[in-house]
Amino acid sequence: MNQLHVDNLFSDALRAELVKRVEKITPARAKKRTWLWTGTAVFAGVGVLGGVGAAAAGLFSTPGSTQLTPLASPVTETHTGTATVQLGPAPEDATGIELQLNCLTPGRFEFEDGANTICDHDDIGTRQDWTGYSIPLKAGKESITITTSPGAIWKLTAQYVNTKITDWAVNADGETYGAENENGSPDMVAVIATNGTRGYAYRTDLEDANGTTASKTFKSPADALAWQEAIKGKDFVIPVYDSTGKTVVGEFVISPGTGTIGVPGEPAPECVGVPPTLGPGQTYPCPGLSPIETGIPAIPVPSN
Amino acid sequence: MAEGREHDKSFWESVKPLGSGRTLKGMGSIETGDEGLWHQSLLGQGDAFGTLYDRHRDRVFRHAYRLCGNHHDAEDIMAASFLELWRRRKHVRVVEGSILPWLLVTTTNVARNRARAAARYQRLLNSLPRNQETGDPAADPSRRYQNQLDQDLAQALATLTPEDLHLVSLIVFEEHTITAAAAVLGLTPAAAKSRIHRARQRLRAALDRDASQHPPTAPTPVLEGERP
Repeated sequence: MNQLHVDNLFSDALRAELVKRVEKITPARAKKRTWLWTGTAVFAGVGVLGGVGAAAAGLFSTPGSTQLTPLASPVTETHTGTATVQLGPAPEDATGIELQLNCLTPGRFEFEDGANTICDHDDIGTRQDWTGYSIPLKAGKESITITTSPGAIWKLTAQYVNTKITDWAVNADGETYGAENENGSPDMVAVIATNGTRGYAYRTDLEDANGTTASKTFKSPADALAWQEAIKGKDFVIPVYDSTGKTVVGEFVISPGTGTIGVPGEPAPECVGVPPTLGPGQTYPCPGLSPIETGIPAIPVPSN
Repeated sequence: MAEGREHDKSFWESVKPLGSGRTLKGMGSIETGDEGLWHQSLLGQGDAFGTLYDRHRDRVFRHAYRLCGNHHDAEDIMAASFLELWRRRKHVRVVEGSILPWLLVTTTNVARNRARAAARYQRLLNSLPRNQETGDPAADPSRRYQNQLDQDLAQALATLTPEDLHLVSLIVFEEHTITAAAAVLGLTPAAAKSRIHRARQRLRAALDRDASQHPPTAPTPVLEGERP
């Protein structure tokens, strides 16, 4: 027996632990995959109007936008390990529960539908420790259970809300216009032009600029990243029309120059942690910001 | 002393290449340099970090043993060093394509601040399984003698300042170049050169002092690389 060898049993267990630790930390840019607003509010595109943030702020009312109304005082509780937060009876017109989870220690935190977020040491006390999640209300649903790794501490703020998606409007040419929402995109998407004027950009123009069109040719995330690299530094200028779709009122610029996550530059605070590429079905969660603030939108990536 | 030679051979054998059966599978390109593996680790590829562990485990363990002179503690220090490497991954500096210098500096720091590192990973370290000790080392005269020498060296090393210890560890024991040691420690090569000279003198003095307390009957194996 050679004394100066690492104990194999110890070494193998350590190796497994190290591999596990590495694998649970996905890179920063893909970390907050759980930045989801499933069911009730889905945002696509960037700089386009609509969505909870803008509507809740009372800035404007755009056809197709989501109107979110808080219905009860939020419940905030701090727990260690797996625990259930009681919300009390749901108000009559509640349609969903809005959740905000902060991890106070490193660990893995799982919502009831299996969506989860992982916090490591570096996230604690930063914006990265925050996860927003919104779930549709089910009858009799009065509690939220968060399942965690042992000893992990978390703070949950939960609130019954009413969300309502308004209908898109239709112009004289039969084109729909308004905010993107979970029903998809109208023919003309509400945007704020660089001159500050609110108007609409054609969806097809936006798709050409933001990679949606290109993404149809992508076969892998690598293709998406290569495309993103190729358009780096280029501006896309798109005309902005009034609701008739004929009169130009300004222009909309999608510029990858600032704030794109994955290339140098700080992202807008609202968009910290947003991955540059999204999984199938995921949408870009930086509502209500101009493209100047957010840079190029996340690119939808096809499965496989 | 056949057993002793066998012992030293493994003590000094060079680091094994990739562990068998633990190559990266199913990847488009296989990167085997530390830099590539480290990059892949940062992308969340556990296998890549596992390969770095396989590659450097023995050297880190030997260095830890040199610093503490105790087998069990050396395993804990080695484990904490890899855990610290990962925890402080944003600060890691890959020098001359290798992660080992950084890892050895981390090992030295962990060994010097054993109480703090141990507290951080105590529960994990205690939970890792170990084989039962085979036999009492004190019962074997040659091993008892070896233990004494190892502890003498550990004590001498403990008298060095952290900076001297880093330099001696990297340049004397692990045979890195002065340039590499300087790069990982944030020194200019010229400063590292003059400091290593003084550090060697201080280590020699510490060993002499030690030797006067425990007269050796043989050269210290860790410095000579061979046992009588």
